[in-house]
Amino acid sequence: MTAQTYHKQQIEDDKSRLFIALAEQMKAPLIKASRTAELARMMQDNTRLNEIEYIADMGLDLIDSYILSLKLQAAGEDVQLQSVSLSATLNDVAHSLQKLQSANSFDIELHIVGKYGPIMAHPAGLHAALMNIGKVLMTAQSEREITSRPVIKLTARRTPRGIAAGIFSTVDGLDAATFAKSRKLYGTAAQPLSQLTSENGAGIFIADSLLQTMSSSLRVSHYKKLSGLAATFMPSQQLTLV
Amino acid sequence: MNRILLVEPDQYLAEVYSSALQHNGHIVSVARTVSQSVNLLDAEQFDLMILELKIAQHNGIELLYEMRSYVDWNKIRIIIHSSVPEQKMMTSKTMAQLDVDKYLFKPRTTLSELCQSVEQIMSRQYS
Repeated sequence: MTAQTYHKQQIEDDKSRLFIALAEQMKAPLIKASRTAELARMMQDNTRLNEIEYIADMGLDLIDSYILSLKLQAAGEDVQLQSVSLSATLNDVAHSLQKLQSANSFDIELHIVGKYGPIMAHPAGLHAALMNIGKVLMTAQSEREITSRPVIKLTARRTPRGIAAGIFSTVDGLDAATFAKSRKLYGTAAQPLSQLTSENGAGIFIADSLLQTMSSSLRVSHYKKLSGLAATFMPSQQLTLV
Repeated sequence: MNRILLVEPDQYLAEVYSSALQHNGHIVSVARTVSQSVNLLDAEQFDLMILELKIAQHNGIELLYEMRSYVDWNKIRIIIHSSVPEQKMMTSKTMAQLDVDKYLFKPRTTLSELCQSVEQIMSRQYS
């Protein structure tokens, strides 16, 4: 097998594993929607229809992110990276996550350290990746015993390698070794991130795949007493010159 | 009326399942983690436990072994209600060893089937 064939095979294997992870993860919203419909019938309670709609939307968002990751992967080096304002994107993601408060009670905080120009990214891909990470962390947080009000913090900060965007929470159990192992396990193990969540965390692997198409990738990071995931982006050279 | 411990990490599903079980006349306590389950088992009396095996940080099977090692908790009937298929997680020998009454595959089990299984197991217990 040549190096090129091996590389192609590796990409195909990763795509299959990501698809299996997505399919497994999709069982969760479908079970919720189906059981909620049955409960609504049992209790003769039509107010639960809104919940079914919300659950279906969450599932659809995940599928859309997956499709976007495939499209960006297929585009390869032709992915159109643009100058994107990271603070505006984080602000937007924070607002979108805030809307999920009807199901989960969290404090969503935004912390942007310093001032800097835009980064090079795919706007929709970046938004989808950050949303998916946020949702998995929110799920993980909701599975823990509540000792104090849970926090999800979105941050941007300058690092020696570029500008880092991160999403952090009070959930423990996420470290670099666990995350590296989970990258090998997703698509085959039921709980590749078992220290983080009972679900299979497909959202994180889809986010990772999206970020890789933007020449970035996820890594475990810490922010004060919070732990989470971050990705570093190159600053937009074009606007630096301006 | 049975006292049920529902071990379900998903907050939303826990609410749906406990509502259905309560609607069918049972008293339900919910635990989302293994440590919460052990605390509840210590503090209250239960007739039956409905257990999801996929729990963050711990495996539900660990909880089962823990439970079966205590005489006080041996009489509690157990339904595994998991999104992991039975053949992936347990052999019939392990089921018998751990005295598991029923294994229900969550994606294929309706609320009515879950409630029926509870009735069947508990009526067997008291017959």
